[in-house]
Amino acid sequence: MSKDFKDVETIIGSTVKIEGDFKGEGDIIVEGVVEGTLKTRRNLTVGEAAKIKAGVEAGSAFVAGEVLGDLKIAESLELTASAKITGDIEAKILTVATGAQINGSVKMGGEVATEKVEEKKK
Amino acid sequence: MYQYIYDHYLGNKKYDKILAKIEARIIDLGIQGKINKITLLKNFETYVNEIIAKQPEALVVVGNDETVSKILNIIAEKEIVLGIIPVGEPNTIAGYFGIPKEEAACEIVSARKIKEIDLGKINGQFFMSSVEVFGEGAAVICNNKFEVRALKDTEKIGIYNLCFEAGSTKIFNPQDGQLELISLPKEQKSFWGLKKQKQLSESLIKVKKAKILSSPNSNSVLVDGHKIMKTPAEVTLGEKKLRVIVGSERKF
Repeated sequence: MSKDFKDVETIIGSTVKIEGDFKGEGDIIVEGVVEGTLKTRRNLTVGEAAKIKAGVEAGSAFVAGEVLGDLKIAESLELTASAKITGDIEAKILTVATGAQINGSVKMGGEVATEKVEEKKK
Repeated sequence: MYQYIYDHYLGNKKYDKILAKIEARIIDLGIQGKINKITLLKNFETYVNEIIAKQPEALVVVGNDETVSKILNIIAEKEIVLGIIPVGEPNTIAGYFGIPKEEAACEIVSARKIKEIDLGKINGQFFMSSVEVFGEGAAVICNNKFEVRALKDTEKIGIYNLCFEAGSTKIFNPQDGQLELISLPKEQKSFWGLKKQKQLSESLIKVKKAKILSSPNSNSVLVDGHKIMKTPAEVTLGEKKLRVIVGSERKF
């Protein structure tokens, strides 16, 4: 056991698959498979071996794996060289490493209508 | 008045000296009470209910993890303070509460530091620590929102209230009103079994309620490390917390 679980809100490990609407309040790390929707107001980390087939909303995101679905990121989105996105991206700040693949439209700079922003407006 | 309950296995002569020391210490500390010895001839539930009806200051269980689990289903959601004096093995639960073994535990009972803790509930039965389902294909529906399914190389999926597993240092807070779902991968070894390959990652998901489904590989779950129950199984938290006497060395 290497991780101290006390410091982590959610980890989706490499040997599980999640199907459905997953909504977290804190940081989420995905190393496994997610299908459906994935939302958090905080940070999302998608590991290199992770496969996400879902609409994704997050405060900020660091993606090294595969995402098939739209990404709505309220603040910053970082794509590493191994990232593969098939879907539209909306983010305030976008960092793309050489080798990252994006197959979809990219919208940057404006206010991203994630759930966090919508709630602030209420 | 304190009520002490001795599990039936303590009738074995090898425990006589330990029990004598405990009884002497209880008197020294001024927490003496009635000693109730469980025998296999007595109906356990009826017997414990009769003791609870006397409204003791504390019900002190003298035994091991299994004794605590047995008592739990009778005292849960009742106005009772639970004390534990661990005698015999295993005693993982007492360890998490910071209660040392045998006569040293009497000091903890006497100090009467009480904490309220969550209890888990599975198909109407209470559990203190964990519910575990083993193998690939194990599936759990969480909060009626999403399903977690074990893929290849999963050792087990567990839903934990108090502790991850026996001997682990990963302790969860049993006062937070949540359960923790953990998936544990199988340990990876190379062909020769000598050098470990890159380890697969665990999962951690906080849940309020879960439904453990039956799978082709498993139609049962292991509750608190010793009790087997059938799937499908509904897992939630109990509505009321349990009041337990704990030590300062508790792990939450």
